[in-house]
Amino acid sequence: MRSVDSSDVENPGNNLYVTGLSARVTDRDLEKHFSTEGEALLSECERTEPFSQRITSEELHLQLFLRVTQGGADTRRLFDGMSPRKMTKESSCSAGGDRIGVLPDEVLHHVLSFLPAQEAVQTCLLARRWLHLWKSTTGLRIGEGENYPGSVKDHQEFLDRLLLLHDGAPLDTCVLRFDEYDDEGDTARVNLWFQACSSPQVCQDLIYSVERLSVTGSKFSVTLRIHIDVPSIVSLRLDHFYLRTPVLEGMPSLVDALVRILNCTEDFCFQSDSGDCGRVGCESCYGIKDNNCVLLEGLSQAKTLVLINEYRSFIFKRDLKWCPTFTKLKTLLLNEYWCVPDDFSALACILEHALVLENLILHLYSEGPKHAMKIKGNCHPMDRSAAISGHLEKVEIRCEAVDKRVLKVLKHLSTFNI
Amino acid sequence: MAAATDDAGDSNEMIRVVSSDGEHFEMPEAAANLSLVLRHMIEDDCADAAGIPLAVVAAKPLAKIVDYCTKHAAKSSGLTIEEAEELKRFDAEFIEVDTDMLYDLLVAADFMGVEGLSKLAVQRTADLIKGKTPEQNRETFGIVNDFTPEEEEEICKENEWAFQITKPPSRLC
Repeated sequence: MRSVDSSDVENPGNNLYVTGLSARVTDRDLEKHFSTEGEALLSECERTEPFSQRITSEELHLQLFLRVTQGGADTRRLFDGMSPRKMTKESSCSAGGDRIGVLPDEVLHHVLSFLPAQEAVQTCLLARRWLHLWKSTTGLRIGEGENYPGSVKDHQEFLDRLLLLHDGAPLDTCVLRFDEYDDEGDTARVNLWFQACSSPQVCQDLIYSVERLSVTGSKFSVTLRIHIDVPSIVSLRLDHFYLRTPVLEGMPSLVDALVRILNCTEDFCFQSDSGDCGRVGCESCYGIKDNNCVLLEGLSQAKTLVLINEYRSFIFKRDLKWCPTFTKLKTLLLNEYWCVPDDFSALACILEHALVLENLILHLYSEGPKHAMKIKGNCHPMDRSAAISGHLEKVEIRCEAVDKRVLKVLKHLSTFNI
Repeated sequence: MAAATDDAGDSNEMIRVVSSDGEHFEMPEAAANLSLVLRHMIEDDCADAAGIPLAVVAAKPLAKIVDYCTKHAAKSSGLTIEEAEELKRFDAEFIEVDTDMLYDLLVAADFMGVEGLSKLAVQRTADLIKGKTPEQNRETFGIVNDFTPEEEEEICKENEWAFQITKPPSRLC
């Protein structure tokens, strides 16, 4: 991204990096400021790519790359000219005083983004400095980590108002947890919130986006299938949900995703394990006939995937019929659902479609992160089967004990020459 | 861009940095690469024997940051579960600091673009705020209430919607 040609670096010491600027500081402001420094000339100014492609609020600052063309400008002197709000001087007020208030706005917005939304808004009462800070928070957390997060209705007024008053700064984290999810009205409302969280409002320069979306412990609608359509998602966690599995729409920038089906979902049919019993009026198979993949299609761009199914939901098996090609998938973690002896078709199918898979981890019949057994296997590039990725290097099986079922899985894997 | 931490093993060069109050520090290049600003300076050949001057970071926080980066760079890729847990413990102990140091770390990590540390410090600050009344928070952070009682009432009224579904902690209004 940074386009510095090699001739630029021959004069070390003339490069000055300025960071930690408010997003509201424009190029013009900077030019004006630095022009007073005489020799300093703003010759190149670009937004550098944020760390590891994940944009969080404070990374959206202009990270300015200034080159001082005639050397000699004293870095310290430049910084001293900045307003105290932008550059907190060390130890100037170490003994007491309101030091948190002197922190840059962006840092405080970031702090607020880690608070439950309600408490973030309530900081407006602390002091004048805090009155409007919450309106630019970069996160939205409702019901996170709570046993009884409340129903959609409980949060309705709060969320409506918050999203209305929020100034449209990018939200990088959005956690919405509800313990009751009633009717179609709720579905519409939650969809509306998702949209409000992820579509541009008033800002022109900033990309208004949700980067990390975590939907945990939600009860989705019984009758309507929710669509999660937030193309900007980089990291997705869809965990522990009830009733109907939501449909994931395309997420081109997705990097990692976890989907865990733990509970009793409505996507269960006695007649069929892939949602196509064909009975008229089968409630479970209802509503998914026309839209092909429910989950996998949306996940097809991920580099890291964790797919766990601990209940007899047919969604994954059904999706495999339209299995997309995973062109970027490098690491894949699956549980025993994918390789129930003696039916390895699901495992085989997903391996076939993961073209560049490097690591395969299988969690077999074990609970929690502690595994009594770990079996690691390597692939020999020469003699592996053509049905799997040519890049596959490591296969790891984590299980409680090596029993018959595990042995069968091992045996099956050996047919791929793993 | 993530490649920077991957070559932790084969680059043994030490990077020198200088705090605002003139103290010199050294860390492996892989550790320095965890800072966006340092990484760009290294890429542009600005890292020389004299050290990279960090005009707004004092020695005390800089020592902590060097410590953090060194630890995290040594364990960057391919963590086992045990190692990840150990790193988590390190982080938890690392951030057990007083508010003064916390502010220094917030500013410095933000300035230097150390993502992991920024997040850690921000999370710690949020944890300190969480579940407290405004009065308790003012005390913890030395915030002076510059509202008149009338103004305070006004704000409560205006933002009534946010104070309604009261959870146990904040019930000031």
